Amino acid sequence: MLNLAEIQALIKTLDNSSIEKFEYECDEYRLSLKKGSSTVAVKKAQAEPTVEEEAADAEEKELIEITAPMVGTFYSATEPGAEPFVKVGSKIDADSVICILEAMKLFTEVEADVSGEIVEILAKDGDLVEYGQPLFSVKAI
Amino acid sequence: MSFKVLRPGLLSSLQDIGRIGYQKYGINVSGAMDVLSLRLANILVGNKEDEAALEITMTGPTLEFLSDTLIAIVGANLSPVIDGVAVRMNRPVAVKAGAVLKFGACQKGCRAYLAAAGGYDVPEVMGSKSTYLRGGLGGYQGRALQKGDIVDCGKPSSFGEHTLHFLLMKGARSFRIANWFVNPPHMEDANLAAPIRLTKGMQIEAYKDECVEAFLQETFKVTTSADRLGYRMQGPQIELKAPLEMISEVATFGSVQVPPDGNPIILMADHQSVAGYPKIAQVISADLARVAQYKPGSRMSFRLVSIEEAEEICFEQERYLESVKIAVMSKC
Repeated sequence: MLNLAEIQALIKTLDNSSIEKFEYECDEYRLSLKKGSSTVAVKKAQAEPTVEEEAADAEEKELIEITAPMVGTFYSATEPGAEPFVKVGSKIDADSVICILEAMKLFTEVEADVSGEIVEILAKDGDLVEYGQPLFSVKAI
Repeated sequence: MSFKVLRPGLLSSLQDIGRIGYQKYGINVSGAMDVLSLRLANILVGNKEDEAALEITMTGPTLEFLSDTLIAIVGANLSPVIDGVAVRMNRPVAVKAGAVLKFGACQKGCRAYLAAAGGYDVPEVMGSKSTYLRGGLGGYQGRALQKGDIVDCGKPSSFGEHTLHFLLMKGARSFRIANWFVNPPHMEDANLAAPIRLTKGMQIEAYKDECVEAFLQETFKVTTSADRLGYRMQGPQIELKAPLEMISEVATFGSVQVPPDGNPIILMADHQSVAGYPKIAQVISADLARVAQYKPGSRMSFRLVSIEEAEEICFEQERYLESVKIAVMSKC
């Protein structure tokens, strides 16, 4: 907890600066200072509902990113107008071809190398992608 | 590496880029009708671009591979299948000894090129492995393949050897395709159907203006009299301003000549070394590959371009091939 002297020093610094609003939060409390208002509010920090967050974290940990194995232009299907190799929800395994990367007139079929389900397609047809750039988000199943 | 011909198909003959330098002795150039597909197929298996490949016309052969071979099929989509499984085109394919390659329906185009790593081991006649069918010269014993023929391949380059072993090591029942391929621009639907570009022929002035106009605006049908020597076309009658008696002079692959009956003929790979009919136009070299992919019964239209444009298009095609070569080298 900040003591009075520290809070006063903070207020003085804030006054002399162009900062309009200052918020400080730690485990036990939250300090909020706003210029122009005469009140200084110190609130006890609320215990964040942690259960949801943990669950979200756990889900995110299961998402694998498939990244580009080379520089190239991304194509989702074998040729324009054809069915894409995968869509959101498609189940894939290590050998599944998921997209094509084109470089210097040579088209390379990219294999997934992981098993799972496509959650998100992170590139679109015609995008120039870098080596290592995320292309697909895959949920392990 | 070699294969045995179980069924010859309609017309399967060995062709390279042609027998060059002997027209003055009356020896036709011959060579692949679609040289672009030939060159690409060779690049894919690590051969020299001008190596011979098997030119397959419309109905393909049935071939039994007698040893592990690296092949590539480029050009028309004749539905190639190995031991019952469809084979993707335009990429290296490692085939195991004993596998049987068949072709099915002609889905697009007219001629496909089967290149084998190491090329084909047939004697060179006057510097070329091309078959001049009418003259019984070169290629596989001077003729198209027949049932029972055994065709040997040469020694593959290190790229060919390496790619073959690399693919077979990944596991193959009958064959294994590489996971990379090319997309020949001339075979893309929009490009294939676009008007064939040509420059003015040496005798274009001799033709009636309205006929020249019709030639460039109407569509022409490729008749059934269309073969390696030339494509007889059917459409508006193309007439001369006045009768013209010409001394036979130079004609080449792509020359469009018009005999007295008024129906143009596009001279193709087996064209004669000199021709006596006046020439209205010349197909640009870059578009010869596309003409070769038109079948009897299909319709073709024409567009006039300048020599400069023709050159630029030719350079563009060469730049494309260079890009592919460089990219393929990186796959070693």
